[in-house]
Amino acid sequence: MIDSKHIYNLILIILLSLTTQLSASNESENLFDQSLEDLMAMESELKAEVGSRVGARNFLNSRTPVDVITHQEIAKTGLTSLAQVIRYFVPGFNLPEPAIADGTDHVRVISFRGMSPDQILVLLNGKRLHVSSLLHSNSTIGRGSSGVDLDTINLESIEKIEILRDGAAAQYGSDAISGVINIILKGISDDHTVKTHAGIHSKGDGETFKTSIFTNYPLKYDGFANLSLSVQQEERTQRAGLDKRLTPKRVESYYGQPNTKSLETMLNIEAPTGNDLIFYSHGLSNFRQSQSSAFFRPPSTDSSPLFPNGFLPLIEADIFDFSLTGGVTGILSNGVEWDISNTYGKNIIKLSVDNSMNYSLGANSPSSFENGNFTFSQNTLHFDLKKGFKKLDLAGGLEYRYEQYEIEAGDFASYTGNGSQGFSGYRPSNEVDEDRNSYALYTNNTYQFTSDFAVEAAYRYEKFTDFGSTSNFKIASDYRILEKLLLRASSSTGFRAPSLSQSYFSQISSFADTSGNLVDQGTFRPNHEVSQAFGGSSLKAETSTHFTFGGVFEFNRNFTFMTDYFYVNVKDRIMLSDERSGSTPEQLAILDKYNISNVRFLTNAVDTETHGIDLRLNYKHDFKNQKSIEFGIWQHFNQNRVVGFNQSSVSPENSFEQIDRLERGLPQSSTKFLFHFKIQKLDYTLNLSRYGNYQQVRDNVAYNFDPQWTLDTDLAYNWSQQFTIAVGANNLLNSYPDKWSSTLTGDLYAHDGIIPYSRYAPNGVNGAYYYVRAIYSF
Amino acid sequence: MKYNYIFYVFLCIIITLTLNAYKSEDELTVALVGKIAKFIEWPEKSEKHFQITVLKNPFGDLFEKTYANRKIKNQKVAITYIEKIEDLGNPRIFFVPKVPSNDLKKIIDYTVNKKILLISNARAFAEKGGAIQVYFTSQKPRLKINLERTNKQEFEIKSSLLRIAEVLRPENGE
Repeated sequence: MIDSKHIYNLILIILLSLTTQLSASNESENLFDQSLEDLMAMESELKAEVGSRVGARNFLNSRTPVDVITHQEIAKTGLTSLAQVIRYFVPGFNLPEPAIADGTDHVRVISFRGMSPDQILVLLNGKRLHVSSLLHSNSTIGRGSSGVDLDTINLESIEKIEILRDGAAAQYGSDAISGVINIILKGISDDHTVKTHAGIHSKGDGETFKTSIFTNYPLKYDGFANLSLSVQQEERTQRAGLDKRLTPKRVESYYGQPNTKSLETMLNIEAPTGNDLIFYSHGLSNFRQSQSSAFFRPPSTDSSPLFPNGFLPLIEADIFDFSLTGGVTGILSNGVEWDISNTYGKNIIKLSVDNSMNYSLGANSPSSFENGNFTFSQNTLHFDLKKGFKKLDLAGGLEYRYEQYEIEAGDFASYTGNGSQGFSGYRPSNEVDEDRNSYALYTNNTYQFTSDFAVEAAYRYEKFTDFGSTSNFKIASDYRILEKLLLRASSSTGFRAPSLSQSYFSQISSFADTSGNLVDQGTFRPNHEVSQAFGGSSLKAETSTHFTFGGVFEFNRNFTFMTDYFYVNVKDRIMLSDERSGSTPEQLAILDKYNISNVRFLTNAVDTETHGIDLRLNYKHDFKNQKSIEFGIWQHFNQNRVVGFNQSSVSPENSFEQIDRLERGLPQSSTKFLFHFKIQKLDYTLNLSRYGNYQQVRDNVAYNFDPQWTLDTDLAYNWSQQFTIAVGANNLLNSYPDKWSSTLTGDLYAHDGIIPYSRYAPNGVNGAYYYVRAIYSF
Repeated sequence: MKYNYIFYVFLCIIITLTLNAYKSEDELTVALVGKIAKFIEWPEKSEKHFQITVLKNPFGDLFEKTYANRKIKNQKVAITYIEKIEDLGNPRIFFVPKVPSNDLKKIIDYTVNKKILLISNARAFAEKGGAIQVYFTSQKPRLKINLERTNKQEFEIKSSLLRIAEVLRPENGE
């Protein structure tokens, strides 16, 4: 009888040998011995710019861990947004899709390594991209933060996405704590393309249509002007449960993806001159209209004047996002490379509510309300210098940044009395127009001690007009201990400046309490007298320390294994407090003065520790006759812990929900099995993903949700070099996250309630999505 | 059995360790320099070697490694490194790295009446008067040939090379 271990070992040996032989057969010892055609068809190393200011280098040789997603890989999927693409490829990157969460329905939250959305820095062609003006203030992942709205970036313009899995505040400044995403736009020699996509969810809703055009115009001296345009329409999905408050029970609220229409444009221009100057510009503009719902308001004496049968408030967001960079770069006769650039970005969100009423106005209430506007603008001016010597590379620069945050009040009817139902308007007392400046000086240098050993050091001094100065450093090193084995390590400090929205956001709104009764709740600025009565004070910067250690083993150019351990300690992490109802006479008096029942505010509440491991195994083989196979197994583990409390008003007892969200709200493990097979005119892509378990707290009880598996697949037929048609499915097996435990009872949040799933579900709640897509290149 | 398993895994790792690493842009560029030479009709010369000269060598020892014991047009390849154009001599191929425009113009003018093929990976090299430019897009090597320059220097380029390159015709060149 054959021992199963023998069979297992035999299979392992065969696979490894086969892999070895396949790889070996594809390579000659000397490239010069290859034919010209083979050389021209060969893929060169994949370079990444992120992680060092010294210059782009092979991402496998990076001193800090970097993932790169190319436009060719993106083109083999049926994904329509940047955030979906990163979730598809990168384990540990989460994109929950909450609903009935006010503004958060319209500006999706992203998270990396279980950390906060505002702890990710996003760069566009290496330049800082502004964050959204929306502060997520509902009970969702990212509560109390403002992150970058990745849905503003048009996929068709992207050459590659570089993801630095390390802290980099010493190089790029604030926010680079859990990682840095650098989006590189397409450059010279890309074809003109027209793409179209149509899809629908398995439940027959969520119809999506997208059409994109990308055009490329060559300019003198290998310059280019690229322009892309996309229009997209997504219909809502409906995953809400029965409303048990109604007789008979029926589904009235919308829970799922919102109705969305968007128009995206992007440009990328490089115009070299004949004398070593390159003028460049890149930018984006995005206009998006989005509509979701609040909870259905059952019939009541309050609603009867206008809506005797109850009503469903519809929350609408008009989002305009704009960014433009202009710059010039050149090289002096002594070899010094210089670059001066300016980036201006702006995000405006106009919120309105339709099909609603203000109970305080009774029969005189309008049914449509303008609820107010948020605006965030940012201007960044850079001057960079770079010079390479034989073993030494020097880089450094100066940065000036201006930021402005505004809240404009809604119309009177939207906030007076109880305010508009569904979402209360911003009041004149919430209006704000605040700004700040920051100045930074930085340097980033590398010394190559031997061909196998280099050390990189970075230092950045930055002064903010609102909270003072900060100095941060980074040291990173790589050592090629064997020809095919690179060891690397880095250590750094970092910081995240409190966003202006965190310092100046305020709102009074009506919320349904656990009994379903409406109560007025106030979110106050951190240094407002109400916040101070509960322990609040002006925000200071979050500070962090980072340590990464790992290595890359290159079996050969097509077969690599990468693993890295990471540790991040964040002090004074900013968090939106729980709702406080007051216990001392002073607190009760001040609540009474402002006529509110609860108060909450942003505070430097806790210290956290995050550590974990990333694993990447990639294999690729090109056969003859236009056949190739690629697979990757990518794994991520993390653990987030709150290790300290800095405010007397925040403790494990009174902030259980907020702390549990930080520690267990997102999966601690995530796995991707990526597979692509090409045979002549057919391209087949498969992605099996596992999202680990997570928790959400309701009514002071933590509920656990089991891991979820999803399978995405895409089959493309390349009719000709110009035309490709494909069919595919995201979440082919129609997997859904766990519903709430049956032990949670209630009308709103329960397995048989209006919201049957956790808002933290890392892959959304929409089930299978089927699509057809086509690409025409010319 | 446990030890057998460890042995086999170790054996496989050893085998893979003997394989080549990935090919960098530099490796491909260096290999293409000599490969391009095979598609040029060279005038007869009495030298024993096929001379390639590299200005301010940015490639470390890649040229030596690639062309050790290799021949082009039945001549052994000899590599020379120079720091300034005045030391050029009379090679078959002169590789020019990324240099400031003034230096590039000087190099182009200096070699225009010589039978020396200029190859570079500098941006807009062909458009600025160089002969053959090697560049990369989407991780693939590309060639750009300035036909006005190569015609002026009376280099005959085989059609098979012209077919896979972007060709700047005289009316398009500077």
